Amino acid sequence: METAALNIENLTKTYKAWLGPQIQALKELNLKVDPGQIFGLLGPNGAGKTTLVKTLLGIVAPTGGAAEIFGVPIGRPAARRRTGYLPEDHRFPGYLTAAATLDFYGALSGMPRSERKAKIDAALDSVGLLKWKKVKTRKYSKGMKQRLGIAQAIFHDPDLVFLDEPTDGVDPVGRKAIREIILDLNRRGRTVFINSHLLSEVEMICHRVVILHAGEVLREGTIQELTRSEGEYVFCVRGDPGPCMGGIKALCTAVSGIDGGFKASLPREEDVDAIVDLLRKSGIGIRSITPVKVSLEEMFIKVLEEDGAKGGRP
Amino acid sequence: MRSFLAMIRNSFYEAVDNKIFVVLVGFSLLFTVLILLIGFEELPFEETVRGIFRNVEAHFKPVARFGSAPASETGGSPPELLDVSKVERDGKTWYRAEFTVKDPEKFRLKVPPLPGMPEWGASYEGEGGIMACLQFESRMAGFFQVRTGSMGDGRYFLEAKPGKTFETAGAQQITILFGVWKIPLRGVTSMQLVFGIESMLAKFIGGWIGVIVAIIVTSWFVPEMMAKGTIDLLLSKPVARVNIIASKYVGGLLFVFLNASVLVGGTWFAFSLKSGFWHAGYLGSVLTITLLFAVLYSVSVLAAVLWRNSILCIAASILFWVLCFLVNLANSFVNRMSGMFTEAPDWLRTGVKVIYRILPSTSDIGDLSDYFMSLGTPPVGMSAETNAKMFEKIDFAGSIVQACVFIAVMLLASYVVFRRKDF
Ligand SMILES: Nc1ncnc2c1ncn2[C@@H]1O[C@H](COP(=O)(O)OP(=O)(O)O)[C@@H](O)[C@H]1O
Ligand SMILES: [Mg+2]
Repeated sequence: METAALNIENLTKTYKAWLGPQIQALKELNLKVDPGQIFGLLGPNGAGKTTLVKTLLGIVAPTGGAAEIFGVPIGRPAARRRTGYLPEDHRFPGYLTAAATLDFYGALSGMPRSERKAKIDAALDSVGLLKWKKVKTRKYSKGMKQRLGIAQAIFHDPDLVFLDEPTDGVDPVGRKAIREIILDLNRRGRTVFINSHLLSEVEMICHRVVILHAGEVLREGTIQELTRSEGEYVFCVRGDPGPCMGGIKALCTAVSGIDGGFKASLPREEDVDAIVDLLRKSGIGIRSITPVKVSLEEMFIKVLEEDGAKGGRP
Repeated sequence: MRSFLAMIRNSFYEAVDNKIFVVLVGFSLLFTVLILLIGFEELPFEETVRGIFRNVEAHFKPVARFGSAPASETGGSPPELLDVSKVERDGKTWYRAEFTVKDPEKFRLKVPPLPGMPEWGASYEGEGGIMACLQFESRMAGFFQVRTGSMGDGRYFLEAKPGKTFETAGAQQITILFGVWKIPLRGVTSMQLVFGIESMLAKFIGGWIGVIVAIIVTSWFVPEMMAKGTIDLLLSKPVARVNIIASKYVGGLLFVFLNASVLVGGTWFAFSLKSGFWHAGYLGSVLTITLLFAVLYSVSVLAAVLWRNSILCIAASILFWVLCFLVNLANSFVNRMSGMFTEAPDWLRTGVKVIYRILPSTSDIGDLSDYFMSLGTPPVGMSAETNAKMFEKIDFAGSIVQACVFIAVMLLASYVVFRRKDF
């Protein structure tokens, strides 16, 4: 079996302050990420997304549990050999040029000098910063810094890249470019771990997502799985379904008419067949039957509301 | 190792990016150029001998002179120079001066005592006193073999052979700006002048002002590194935290070592080239400046990991320096008290001694600089043995070990704080 890119078991992090309350940022978190995936970690601000990534990268010490990156326990420098990281709100030393920045962090990631030299231009070009190669980063705009941050995160060709809010502060064109980079990494078999509160971004590219709230996993699955609304279908029909609506209503928990058909909530999947039978018997043609999908955003809000009702973090 | 070097190189970029680095190197180069503009010239030997007599004359004035010369309390009229000539003796050139003294019996000179130096603390009277005074001043002027004698009728002679010092240093006059301004050196040889200026550069400019500036400049190395957004990225790299701290420390040391090397090396080279006095001992001050800085910077690094604030780092290291100075003062005070006044209470002596033993002795490091300076070239008017005696009571090896242990403890403490810190 292939080792998981990430294997997290009961990971807990409690921030202890001198004064004030303790903050439990991660609560016995379990998570597994397979290699080659684009993985999205979603959650509102303060959910613990950044804390999770920082814990995995040894920036923050966990208070409990364990985790491995490609089989190496976190905390050891070796666990960070195959990782790249774009911190949220990162700040590069202002006295370095773009080229020197890549060279410095590349060296820290263990790249030999010759390799660094050979790859700098291409790496800067891929984020559109080649022109700025010799300019000190203190003169960069936020978007430029973000692009340099991404170039830095993937410069040493890591197998697992953590991107914390990668599209934060980037204009739509830049966002598209970042998505392209992520997809390209994925094509080359790299694993990408994205932290984001911007759901549409994630929806576009992630294979699997986890919804984190108050340090706990609320949902986990593929985008398809998560956005499928349980038992809701839209039936588009030829002709008026009116005559058999009585029978249909008996099968459904809720029905509503829509233009050219109706929307039905069915408790069991077999009931779709029953409705088809009813319609066919009445001689009504069926154009299409589609399971209703909610947007990730709707689902997200719903999930958080449910959790709030359950008594999650106020 | 690769990442260690990368971190050090990065510290270097950081320092160079800082204008102060450029200013510091600029200052050192400025000193060097200024020294290169000084010329050291040989004065005609008569002038030299006249210079000695002028200094002897000064002892006949009832003023205490400043510096290394004895304070005097004399009467009578000063000697009058009759003739100065060169004589050959055993194939070497000696200078011979003949002079008269009107009332030799009135001469009185008291040299104040100096601890550890038996030649001081004497008083001279009459004819013999004048001769001793001349011998002393001749030595000060760089003559190490001196003969005096009477020729009767109140006429005396002084014969002096230029010593090695005089031969190597030679010059007795400096010119500034290619001879626009000529300053004859009185009472000092050019070698002594060079020695004096180098001492000042090593102890005051380098070892004091330089170290303060270095503390200020390097104080933001670690806090800057630990700024939010910077440290995250650094820690996400496969580098152990111990290496991060160690490389930042070494980077700071290297920065100061380089600066000290430029200052000391540049001025040393310029002085040596112009005066012909290649004073290797001066180069040792690069090490003492770096060592002193190393001690203070370890305090700064600990302050940095605790508070991540460069102002607090500066304050901590400077206060620590002051503390070391005060403890040193207290230590010598309680020790002297036992000899000179009453016994200091035991608890006080033990307390001071314990603290003195724990803290690195910054004053010993300063003395080490003097010691290096004096190696092979004892300061003015001192024999090599007297010089050695001055330093024999100081346990330099012990002080260096003590400083190194202290640094190790500070860095270890910094690491312990840094190791489990969340960012
Ligand atoms: N260094 C820290 N010290 C104390 N509390 C922190 C620290 N970092 C984050 N937290 C707290 O932990 C919780 C999770 O924060 P974070 O991981 O940044 O969330 P997210 O990235 O999902 O917005 C928040 O309540 C935050 O206030
Ligand atoms: Mg975050």
